[in-house]
Amino acid sequence: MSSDTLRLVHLYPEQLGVSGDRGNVTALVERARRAGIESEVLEYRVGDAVPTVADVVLVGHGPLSGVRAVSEDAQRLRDALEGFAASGVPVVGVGGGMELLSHGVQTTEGETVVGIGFLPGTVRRGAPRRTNYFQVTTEHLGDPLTLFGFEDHAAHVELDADAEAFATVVHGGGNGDGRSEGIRRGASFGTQLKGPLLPLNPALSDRLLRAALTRRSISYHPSAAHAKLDEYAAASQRVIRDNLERSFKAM
Amino acid sequence: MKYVIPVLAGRLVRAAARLRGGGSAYPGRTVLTLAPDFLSHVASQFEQGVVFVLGSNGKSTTTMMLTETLRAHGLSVFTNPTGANLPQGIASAFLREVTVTGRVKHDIGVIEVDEAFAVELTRSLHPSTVLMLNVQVDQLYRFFETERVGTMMTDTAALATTAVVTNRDDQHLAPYEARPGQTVTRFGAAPDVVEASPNGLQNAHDFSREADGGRSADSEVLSLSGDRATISVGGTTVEVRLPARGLHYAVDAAAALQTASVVLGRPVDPAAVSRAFESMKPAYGRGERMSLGADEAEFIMFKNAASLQLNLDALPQDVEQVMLAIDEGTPDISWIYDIDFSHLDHVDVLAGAKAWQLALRLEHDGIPVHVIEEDISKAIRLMRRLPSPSDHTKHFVTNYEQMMLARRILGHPDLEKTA
Ligand SMILES: [Zn+2]
Repeated sequence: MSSDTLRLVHLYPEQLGVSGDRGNVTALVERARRAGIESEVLEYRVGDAVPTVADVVLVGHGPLSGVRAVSEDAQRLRDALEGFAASGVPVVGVGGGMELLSHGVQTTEGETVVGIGFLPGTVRRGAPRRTNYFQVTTEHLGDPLTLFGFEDHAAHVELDADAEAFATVVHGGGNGDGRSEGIRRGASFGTQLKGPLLPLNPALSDRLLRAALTRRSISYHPSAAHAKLDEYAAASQRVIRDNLERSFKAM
Repeated sequence: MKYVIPVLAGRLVRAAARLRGGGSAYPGRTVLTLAPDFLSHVASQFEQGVVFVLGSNGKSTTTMMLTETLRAHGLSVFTNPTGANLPQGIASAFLREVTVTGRVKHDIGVIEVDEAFAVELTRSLHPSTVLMLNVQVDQLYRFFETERVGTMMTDTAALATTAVVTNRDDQHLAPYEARPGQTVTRFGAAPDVVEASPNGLQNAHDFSREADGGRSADSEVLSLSGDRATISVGGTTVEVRLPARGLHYAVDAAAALQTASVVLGRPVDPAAVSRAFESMKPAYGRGERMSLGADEAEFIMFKNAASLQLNLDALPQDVEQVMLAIDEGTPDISWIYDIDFSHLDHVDVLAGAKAWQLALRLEHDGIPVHVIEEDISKAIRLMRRLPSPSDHTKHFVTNYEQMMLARRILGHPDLEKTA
């Protein structure tokens, strides 16, 4: 591993990786690569040695059974994630990944699936199911930025007192208060934005890469090599924008 | 005489629906409204009982394979048309076959059933045998939880009156144990056959279970080459030509043959099986071929990640000409980032509203895309204009909605739900 390698940690790729979440890893690796920066991806699984170095930590979406299956093991990661956060490493959780990073999930049966308690919020399952295109704006790591994706969950997120949301809902459900979406903590956040989030929203990927690499004094500059990725992402966003009002049937 | 009026009313509704140019569930709904016990009345007449075919993927193909195998062994089989797997659809299908007094002459009913309605349907159809194919991540969108889908299937299996046939290689379904009065047998694919498939079987993980390789299969795919498979069943070995290429079709065949031998109560006749498979046409949109100028278009429809992966893996390596098409009929396609597209060295045309999302995905893998054209009719024109490939086959890999549009454009406007 050379000193200027981007080090990604992908948590629980099987249990929390059912909605293309590897795409978030792929997006960061590919954008870094096109800027001349090589990456190393560590996939962390139940029982593995707790990672000690990371520039970005990603955890994807999975069904409740997936969150439950890793809940106990994930408690071992708490100190490592706190350490990463203290040094400005972005930790990103999507869907079930956000649930795992939160205090935990209250199920409709009254059970609590314990989370890591890294993100300051609690998830309550049993909200009306949402399946729709999703548009939010976020000021995460910069100026207001519009993000597009897909929302598919049946949960409300209750933020801790004085905790911050990741974004503001423009179109979609989000946390269930009609306004906020996801949970934010420093450079880290959790969200329900799928699609996956990072390939579809290259500007957010670039912010994460800069936050991750600046700590290491590595400069990151998107270039002409990124043009096709950006063009296709912009066209994908346009189609989503045109279809925001479309309703999808969930059984 | 109780069923005369409901049957005639249902047929009238069907005739009216046909005039308007579409099959539908209305005839079935009409007959069920007038005679709520219509399904049980018909189902109870099958002397050899009713077989349910359940699964995330492969229900239609397996239902066809089982039906044709049983017919090749001399049985008269009732079956529902592909995709007509909800109660009204099944009632519509019955309606077509019964006499005005509600009689059927078939020996057995082989019925594909939607998981969500399967338990409910056991109450009217009383299946003697339940075949469970697989739990794959598909209904995640519909049901949120693969666990829940698995439970829907095993709860249905528990109500089979005599036999359950299940998938040895599926973590959710393999552990199923016989309820009193039931026999349980299993089908599967030999480990080396699965290993030879670039992305395996695509069955969903069951995170509450440890892998258990200890069970044996009563019917097993022993080898697979293109559309030819060798399957062991009940101590004999059967060679079959699959209706389309792919490991999933071979596993479906093993499932169908195991179920056939359970239903027949004796080993299947290899010659009869080979004949039945030889004459089988691909199920609707599953490897179907249509003429396209001097060449042929081969249609592969996918419903979800598992079926797309298995279908891509079954394409010829470095396939010469291929179009991929997805539109808003498949709402969330996040999962395309979990698909291994490395089998393709390029894509000629991407179509449908989600073409850009596909292009973005392929660009991340450095797979060149020649043309992006959201409009399927223009996209097909582009495919038509490409020079004739050496295998004279232009491959179309599409979701259901894009396939429907493409069929109409190519002069095959028939619907899947013909009940
Ligand atoms: Zn080409």
